[in-house]
Amino acid sequence: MAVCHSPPAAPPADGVRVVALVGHPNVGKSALFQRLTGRYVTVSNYPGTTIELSRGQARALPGVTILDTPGVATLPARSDDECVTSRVLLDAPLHAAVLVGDAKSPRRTLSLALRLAELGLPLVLVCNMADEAAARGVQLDHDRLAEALQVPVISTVATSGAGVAEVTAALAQAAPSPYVLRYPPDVEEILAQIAPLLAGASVAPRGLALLWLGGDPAARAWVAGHLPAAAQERLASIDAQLAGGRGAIVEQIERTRADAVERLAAQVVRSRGAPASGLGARISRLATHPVWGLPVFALVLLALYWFVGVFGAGTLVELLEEGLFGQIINPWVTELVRASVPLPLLADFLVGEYGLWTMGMTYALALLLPIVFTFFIAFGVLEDSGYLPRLAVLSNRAFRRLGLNGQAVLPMVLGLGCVTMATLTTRILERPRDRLLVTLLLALAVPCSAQLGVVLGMLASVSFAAMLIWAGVLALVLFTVGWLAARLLPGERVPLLVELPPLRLPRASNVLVKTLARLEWYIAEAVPLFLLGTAMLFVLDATGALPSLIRLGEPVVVGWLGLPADASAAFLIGFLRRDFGATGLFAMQSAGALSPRQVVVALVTLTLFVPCIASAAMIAKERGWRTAAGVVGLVFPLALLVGGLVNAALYLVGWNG
Amino acid sequence: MITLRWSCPLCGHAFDPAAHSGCASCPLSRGCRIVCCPNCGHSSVDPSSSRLARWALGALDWVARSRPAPDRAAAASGPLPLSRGPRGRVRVVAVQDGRCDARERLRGYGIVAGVTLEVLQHRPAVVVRVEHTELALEDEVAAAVLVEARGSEV
Repeated sequence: MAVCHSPPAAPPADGVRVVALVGHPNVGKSALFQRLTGRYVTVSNYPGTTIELSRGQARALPGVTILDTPGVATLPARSDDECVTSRVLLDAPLHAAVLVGDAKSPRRTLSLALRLAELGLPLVLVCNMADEAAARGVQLDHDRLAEALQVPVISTVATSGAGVAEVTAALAQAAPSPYVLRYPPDVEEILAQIAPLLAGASVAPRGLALLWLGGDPAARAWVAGHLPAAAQERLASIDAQLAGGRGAIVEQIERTRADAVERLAAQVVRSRGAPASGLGARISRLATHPVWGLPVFALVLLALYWFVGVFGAGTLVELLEEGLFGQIINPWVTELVRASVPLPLLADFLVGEYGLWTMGMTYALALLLPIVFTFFIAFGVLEDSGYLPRLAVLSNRAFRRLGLNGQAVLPMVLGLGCVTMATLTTRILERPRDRLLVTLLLALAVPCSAQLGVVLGMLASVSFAAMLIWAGVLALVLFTVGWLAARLLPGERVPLLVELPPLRLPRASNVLVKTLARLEWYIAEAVPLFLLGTAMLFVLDATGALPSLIRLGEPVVVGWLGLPADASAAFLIGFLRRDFGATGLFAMQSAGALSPRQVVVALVTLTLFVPCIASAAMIAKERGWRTAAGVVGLVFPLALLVGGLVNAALYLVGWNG
Repeated sequence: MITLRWSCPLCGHAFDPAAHSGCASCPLSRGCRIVCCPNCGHSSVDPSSSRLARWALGALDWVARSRPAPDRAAAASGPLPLSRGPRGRVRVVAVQDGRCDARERLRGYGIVAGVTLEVLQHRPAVVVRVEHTELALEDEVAAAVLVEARGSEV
């Protein structure tokens, strides 16, 4: 677990008080963070949205920094993202921890509350989603709970801001809970041996000892990094003495905790409430139904295709590219530049065939922006609806063949948004092997939104059959490579266990804010690369190197893939960003230079093509340079191989539109 | 196995088409898909001769087997694994030590012995509700949870 052993993030400066938001996945920590700090972080309706720490200044509390942590399903931590959270609890001396719980599931919240109370951190207990709990009739006796744990208990609805002011007020006077849970004698005996060794910790030694016993990687790393050698040896010998008996000890600890939670719940939970009913619950059943789940999925895909492919890549692009840019802006800019720039070469550089404005900016703003915009909206709606975890249930069987579980569908689907971000999300997977496999498949066969939009637009103008062929080939490659890779990377498969959040109607404000944030990020990242790629092409063209490069690629591009020689240029810029390359193909298709078969072959090849620079860098950051080089080295020839095979197959069956 | 109950569409007489051998003397009986009612003589298509019908029967059979009948499961003595247990409210009797820290992962969601769950579906994954949290578990994980049916009492 690399995340646990890397050195801690910059320690807080003197006088800065740090408050961490901690809780189970998908309980609204990020929404609360946004309310407390006013800083934007992505909020979605599925577990695992937050994988790295976000920090921001509390608006109402000067000098207080708020940390948003990844959700913990279990503490002691087990996965990488949980580890990030347990490290926060141990490493930085926290001013307070805010336990964000789901008001609908008080027992789960209580269980985590006990664990945090044991760490001796000043604690504020927040029962979020109080509106949903009230709608289901769940009632909790706050006064009794506050009395039992001696910590403030507050109800909030983070999405609307209700109760947030009370959280701020409570933070000012948070104190450690005096609650102590007594364990069976043999556990207490071991704790009495370990706790004194951990006296230097910023948390209660007893709590840290319990985490260490539970095998929490962050607690183990803390011991390795902070304790003198003698104490470490002592701990190692205790560990060796326990050996196989540790499981039984952990089991006793957990049983004691479960009993305590049950006792506490019997006191404070006044009504369990009734299960949710109504449209949401019914759609939820349909979405995970073994038979009806597929039509629901098809419906979702169709809606996505219509909104992004037909409306975004069709209607909007036509309006912008042919209308606004083609007829109004570009002629005007061209005229202006030609009139005011004396050097023809410089004018060409700006508005020529490979001009910064006429190619780079027009591609980025007129062709890609509307597509990316519609995709981000559709994707935001999908994320907030809570449909994605249900897709994990539906696709579990397919991923089983790859030695993965349905949870892998999340990074894959997120990859449709941005492969770079999705590579980071692979952290929610538990095993390094799973993370590596999904990273490879992401880099290979999952097109990102920008590319997908262009591809959908191009295929939509050919025929639905073209779309099916493209999707079918990709799925085939995905599963063949996945299957082969799973054989080469043996390992125990982790069976699926995923939380299904309630289906919710997405809030327009959240979708809009999320879309704008992503759009800004897209422009900042893509436009410079588009300009760089254009400049590269211009230089190659001006020096006369482009024709010879195109000739160099001819045997492969023309002979093997059956494409026009000009397509080499599109593949060349595809090295920078695949969507840039796709846009080049889009322009060729618009000019009538590609037959339907060539469109399909070109798109299959480009979709499988090398990952963009940003995602290659992300792979290197998350998995190391060697892996990144391996992935690129594997993907590039494979893309050309598959493209050629598709070309040959389509030629043999005589398909051409 | 689901057996086909066949009754004559005309007179309603129930009979087994496969057992009916009245046409043996007919020279066209080989491959003949028509069956005659032994009671009234009305002829109709024999469903057991149709590949499509047999396939449909097989599929229905699979569905029936994959969905444990609540009464049968409830009547069974002793606890059952969640993956084969009844639908509706069940009590967790024990959580066995499964592969891949299954027990720790389940504990994180509050699935420990003594807790009441509501089982919502079995396929393609077992979906249960713990308090108001819905969880999807693969069969392999669900098999580690032993449950017994619990009436409607809370």
